[in-house]
Amino acid sequence: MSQPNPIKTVPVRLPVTDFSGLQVSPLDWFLLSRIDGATHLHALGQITGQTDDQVIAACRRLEAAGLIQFELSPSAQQAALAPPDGAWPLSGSRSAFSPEDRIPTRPRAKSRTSSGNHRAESDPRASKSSGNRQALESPPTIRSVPRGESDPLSGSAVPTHWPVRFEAFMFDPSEMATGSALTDRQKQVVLYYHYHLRKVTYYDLFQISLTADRDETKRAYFRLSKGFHPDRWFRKDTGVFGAKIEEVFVWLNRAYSVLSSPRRRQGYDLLLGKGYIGEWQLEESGQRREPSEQEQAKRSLDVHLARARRAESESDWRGASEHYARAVETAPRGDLQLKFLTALIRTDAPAPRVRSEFERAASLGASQVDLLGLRAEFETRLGDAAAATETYLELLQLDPNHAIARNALDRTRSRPLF
Amino acid sequence: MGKVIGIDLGTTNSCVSVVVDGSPKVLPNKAGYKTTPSTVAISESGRRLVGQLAKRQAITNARHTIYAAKRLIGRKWGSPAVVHTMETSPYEIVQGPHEDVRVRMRDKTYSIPEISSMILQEMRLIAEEYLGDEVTQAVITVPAYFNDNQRQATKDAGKIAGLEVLRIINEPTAAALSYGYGKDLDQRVAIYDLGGGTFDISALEISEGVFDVLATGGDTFLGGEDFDARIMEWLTVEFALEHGIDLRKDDMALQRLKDAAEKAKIELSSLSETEVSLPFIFTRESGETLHLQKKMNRATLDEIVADLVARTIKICKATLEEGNLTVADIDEVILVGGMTRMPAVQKAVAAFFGREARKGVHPDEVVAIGAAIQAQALTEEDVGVLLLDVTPHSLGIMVFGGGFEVIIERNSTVPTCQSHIFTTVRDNQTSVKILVMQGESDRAEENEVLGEFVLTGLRKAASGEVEIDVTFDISADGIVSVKALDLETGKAQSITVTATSGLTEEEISRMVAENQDYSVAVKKSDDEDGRREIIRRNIREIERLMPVVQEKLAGNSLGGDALARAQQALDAGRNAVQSSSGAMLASSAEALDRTLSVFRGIADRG
Repeated sequence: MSQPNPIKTVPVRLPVTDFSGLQVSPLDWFLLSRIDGATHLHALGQITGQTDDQVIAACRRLEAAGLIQFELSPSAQQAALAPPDGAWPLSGSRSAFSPEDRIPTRPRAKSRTSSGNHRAESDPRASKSSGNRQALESPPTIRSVPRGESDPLSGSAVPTHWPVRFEAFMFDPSEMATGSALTDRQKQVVLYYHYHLRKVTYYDLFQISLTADRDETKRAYFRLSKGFHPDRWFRKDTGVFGAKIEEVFVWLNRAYSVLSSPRRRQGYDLLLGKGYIGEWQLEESGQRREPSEQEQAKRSLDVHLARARRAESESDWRGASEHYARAVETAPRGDLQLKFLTALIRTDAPAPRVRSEFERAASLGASQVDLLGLRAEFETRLGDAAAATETYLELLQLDPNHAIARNALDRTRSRPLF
Repeated sequence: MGKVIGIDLGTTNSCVSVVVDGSPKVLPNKAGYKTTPSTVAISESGRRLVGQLAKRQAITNARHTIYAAKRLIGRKWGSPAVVHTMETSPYEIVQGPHEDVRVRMRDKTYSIPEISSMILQEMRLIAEEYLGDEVTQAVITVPAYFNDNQRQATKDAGKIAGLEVLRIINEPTAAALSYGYGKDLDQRVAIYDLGGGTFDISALEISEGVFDVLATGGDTFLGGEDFDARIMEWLTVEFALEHGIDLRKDDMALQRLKDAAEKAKIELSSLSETEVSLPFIFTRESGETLHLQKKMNRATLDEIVADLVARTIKICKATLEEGNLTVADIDEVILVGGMTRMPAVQKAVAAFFGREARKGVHPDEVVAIGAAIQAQALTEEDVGVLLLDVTPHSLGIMVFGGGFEVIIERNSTVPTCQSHIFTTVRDNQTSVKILVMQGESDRAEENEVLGEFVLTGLRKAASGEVEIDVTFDISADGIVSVKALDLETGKAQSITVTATSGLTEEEISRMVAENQDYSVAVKKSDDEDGRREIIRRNIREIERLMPVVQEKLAGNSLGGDALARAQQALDAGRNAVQSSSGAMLASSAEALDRTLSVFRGIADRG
């Protein structure tokens, strides 16, 4: 997995309404006015005519003033992601989840180093060793909802991967003062959901993965409906929250009508792939815009990666290789090419084709160790045990502790040689 | 706050239910039946009769007995359904002042909501009697395929009956609630509801207490009444062939035929052959009397109604398709409505769905029970039931050329909100008329009009240049509001669509007032007259037993005492009958009851 470019980090505005006592320069205000939660730093620089460094510095100031959220510090991130009871009810492989499997509403900011400086764009391979970052970036923020889980207005869990953290969310005291039928916590959750309706994908709204099946989608929708269906609040004093609850439910409805229909869902996925947060959302809020090329690429990549992964899990190597091929087209990266190769080999593709793809992988800077391992597998599949042994030996020279290579060589040695 | 009741306001029968301590109960009427005929009559003496009483006297009072009013509710004068009903009904149907339908009994015309309100009032009384408390709120069911006007008319009927209608819910949905309530289900069910006048089919997904309606369809003019009509037709044709006389010209004969047809239909559900016997059905001018005597077997019945059954199956098929469902997706089939007792219907449903329908669901009571459960879910905490209902018809507006543009598609879960952008059609057009409609036809004229409004002050521009955003919103209560917004100027115009039941607001409040007077009268006189009658009967019975008891008690030391108390009760009873004090009547009736049972015990001892 490669490192996201820091300049492609997307700052998010925090819902601050009280600006008294703030010291912000007009230029920074101008920048702030262009921060829409979808535009990354580099694009902001282009819009406002500033250099990348200037934008980064300005955003730091805005962040310090509490006006935007830039990224989460590792500790805050961990705190925000930690489950309320300290344990995620992870069960089964389907519920475990890595961030690429869903479409983030924006490229996720990478964690900041302790010095507070953005890391310069670095060699993707160098970042591989920083396993810690990976661990931080793959929290189980999304899981399939187990049967019988309470709805968001009864339980204590709130979505943890939305643009604005629940902990950082500002609640309007005048709104909070109305609606005696709701607890303060329920009011906060309603406001939190309501604020995010147009800012997250339908998948994120439901907290399900891109590959969630019909049943998971249904359960997520039913769970949310139990909290947000206006009937639950029938003739109760809901103050300003009544209308908001209904609005949230209308969105849930809309999302479900798309996600539960294979045809419409496919269309929605394509739109996500093209870079819309959701065509319908944008149409609704009247801010239809063309997504930037980077956004489009990112969406497309996410969609193909998700599909490829799903195919992999079903041992559908042909499907996986097709989607990985598309992913590589969008993002010519060594690690993706390796995945593509792995799937391709398993489809028993013709040897010359596979060889040319190996060359491409090398030229894209795929890890030499991984390449050699894969080559050995390929040779084994071809029945060329001698070549495989040689490759494994070569591999051991690079990485003397490579377990697969060791095992493979041990097996070859113990086998009678005739 | 009193209990909220659930009422199944049926075409032929109605039923009322309430949830007590978490379990739904169907409430029996005074005669002990759990369903009450949806029949209303005005007797010769001007008395209003509802239910069993009305149905029993229907033959002798055919012109002033209204049945199946539900087939007319919310319909426009001149619509095919109304024309059809006029041809087959012995009672008089006349045009109302707002192109609506009215019926005549004796010298008075009644709107259809008024007729329905009398039935609702009866159901309300049944519930009040059972609960011993005033009932002011209800959830009422309607066929899923009812349009907004029909729903509104039903709501108005509730209002006239002094009931606040918390929610109108769909009959098949209610049946599903009743089926799934208190069970931990995770399945998809199909509800096949063939009632007295309407047919509905709904598919629902039930899981974790959530009832999600996936698709619904139906025909509001297809039900048991049509089956009866086929049998009547067959009988009259047979009779005409034999005697050359058309019985349909005779109101009383028509009513007798109707009764006989219904009876034959019911009998043929369990027997393979039945005999229809209507002696003295017609008298010729010559004074010769004719009898109708005809054997009918199940095969004949199945044959003459085969197309009706096939029609329901066709609708099932279309509805499943619309919900992107196949027969294989359905885990359970539930039959609702009296007509599903007919073997031919059961066979057709089983053949279509490839499975036998679920047994153990009471087809006459499930709907009312479901309404009571929904009433409970709305008003109480933590019932654990959530209903996600849909809008059964598409909503949209009329566009240039008489076309109909759908904005909210049918089977959308409510509440919902959708918008669509339209443009002007003429150069320099400064206003647009938004005609809000409901229906499935591409042609606007074939759909039901719900309301209209005009958006003015548009910029003068070439045709197609000015954009107008039209937003439809359906609230959880099913209230439709429509907003048109000039995207350029931000000028907006909106209406809340109040479907028309054919009654104006003033008319409804007048009827509410009238009915309130009447309801007090009914309660008082009914109660008191009934009690007086019981007291008189008991006095007569006690007096009859008196000599026997005296003889038996002779020589018993306690006997004198008992006889004295009995005499006291008799005296009090005679006084009470003369008085108009409800309390006195009640206490006296009770005392006499006790005395009578003591007397009977002694007399029987032999």
